[in-house]
Amino acid sequence: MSIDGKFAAIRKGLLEFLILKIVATDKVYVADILKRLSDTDFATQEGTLYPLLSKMRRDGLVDYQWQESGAGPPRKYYELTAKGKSQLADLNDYWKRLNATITQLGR
Amino acid sequence: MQKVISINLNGNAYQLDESGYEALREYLAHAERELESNPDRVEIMADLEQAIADKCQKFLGAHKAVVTGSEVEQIVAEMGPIDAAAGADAGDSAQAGGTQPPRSERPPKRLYRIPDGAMIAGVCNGLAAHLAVDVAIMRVVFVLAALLTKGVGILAYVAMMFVIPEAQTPEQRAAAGDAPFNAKEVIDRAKRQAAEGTRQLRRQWRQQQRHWQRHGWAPGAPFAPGPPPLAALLMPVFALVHLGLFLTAATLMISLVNTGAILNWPLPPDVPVWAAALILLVAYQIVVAPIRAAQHWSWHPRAQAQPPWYAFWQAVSWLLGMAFVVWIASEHMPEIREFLQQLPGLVREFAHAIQNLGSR
Repeated sequence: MSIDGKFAAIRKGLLEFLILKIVATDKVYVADILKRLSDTDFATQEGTLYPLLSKMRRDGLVDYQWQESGAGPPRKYYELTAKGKSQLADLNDYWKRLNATITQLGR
Repeated sequence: MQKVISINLNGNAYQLDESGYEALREYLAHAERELESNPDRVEIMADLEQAIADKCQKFLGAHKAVVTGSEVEQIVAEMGPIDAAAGADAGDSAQAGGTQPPRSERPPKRLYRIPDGAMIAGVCNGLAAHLAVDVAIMRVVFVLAALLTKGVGILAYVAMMFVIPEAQTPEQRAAAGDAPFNAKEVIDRAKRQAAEGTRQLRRQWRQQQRHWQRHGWAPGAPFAPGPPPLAALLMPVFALVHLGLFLTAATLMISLVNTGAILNWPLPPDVPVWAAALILLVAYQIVVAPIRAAQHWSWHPRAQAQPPWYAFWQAVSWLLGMAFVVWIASEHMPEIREFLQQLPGLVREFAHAIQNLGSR
C-alpha cells in the first residue's frame, strides 16, 4: 500500500470521530460540517457524509431536528445524543492515550 | 440548441438541459444502486436530491433559468461519489473493504438466557440451546433436580436467572445457538417469510372470490379460512382439558398455600411452602405446554403474523379478566381470600431464602 493509501485509511477511520466533535460544538447542518472539514485533510463530500450520518443516527450517536431556514426549505440540524456524547468522551480519552503512546515510543 | 427538461428534486422543480439531465440521472441512478442495501436509502436519496437542489440554486438567477450540462457535472463532482461503505453497519463495512473474507462462520458459543418462548426467565431455554437438546427435556431435568434436591434446584434456577445474561442482540442469539447470525441469513429469512405471506394472501383472495361467485357477496362473509376441520373439532377438547388442568393446579395451589399440604398429602418437613409452590407452578407449565401448543396451532395453523399490538392488548385484556375473576372469587370464596392473604408471607419467605443463600 502506498503511503497515501495508508493515510487515507487512517482518515477514513477518524472521520466519524471528527464529525462527533463538530456536532458536539453546536447544532449543525450538513453544509456546516462540510465547511468545517473543507480546509482540513478531512475534506469530505456529500456523497460520503450523508450515508455516514444516517449510519451514525442508526447507531444512536446523533439525531436531527427539522428547522426552518431563512431562505429555502427546512434543514436537518444534527445534535449529539447521550450515547454520542459518551462515545465522544471515550474517543477523546483514547486519542490522548494514543498520542501519549506515540510520543513515548520516541522517534 | 438543446432541449430543456424539467425535473423534480425532492419537491423542487428545476430545468436542466439535455446533457445536464443525463449526467444527473446517471449520478442518482448510481447512488440508488450503491445504497441498495442501506436501510436509510430513501432518506439518504432525499438528502442528496436536496443538496443537489441547493447547489443548482447557485447557478440560477434572474436571467438564467436553466442549469447546463457543465454546471451539472460540476455539481456532481462537488457531491462526490457515494461511499456506501461509510453508511454500512460495522459488520458489512468489513466486507465492503474487501480486506477480510466475508464472515460466515458462527461466533463462539456462549451461555445466554433466551427470552423467546421462555416459561420463566429463559434459563432452560438457553441451557437447552447451548447443549443442543430439546427444551422440554431440559425443563424435566430441572424439575426432577428440584424435587430430588428438595428445592435447591429452584434456587439454582433463580441464581442462574441473575447470573446468566439475556441474549438480546442477534449476535448474542447466534452465540446462544438460537438464531441466524449474519445479515444475509436474516435477510434471506425475511424474504422467505414475505414471499410466504404474499402467497398466502393470494390464496385467501382466490378462496374469497370463489366464495363470492358461489354464494354472492355478503357483508361479514368470513375472509380468512378457518383452521382445518379436524383441529377445529378438537379445539373445544383442548380448551376443556386446559381449563381442567388449570382448575386442578389452582386447587392444589390453594390447598398448599392455605394448609401447607397438597390436599391430604403433607409436604416433607424440610421443603418450604414457597419451594413446593414453585415446583407446582413449573410442573403445571410443563403439563400444559403441549396442550397450549396444540391450541395455538389450531388457532393459527399457518402462523400468521399478528401486528405487535395484538399480543399486547391480548395480554392486557387477559390480565384485566383475570384480575376481575380473582376479585369476584375472593369476595365469595373464603379459601381464595385466605390464599390471597397468605401470598405476601410466602413471597417474604422466598426473599429470605434467597438472602440466606446470598449471605451463606
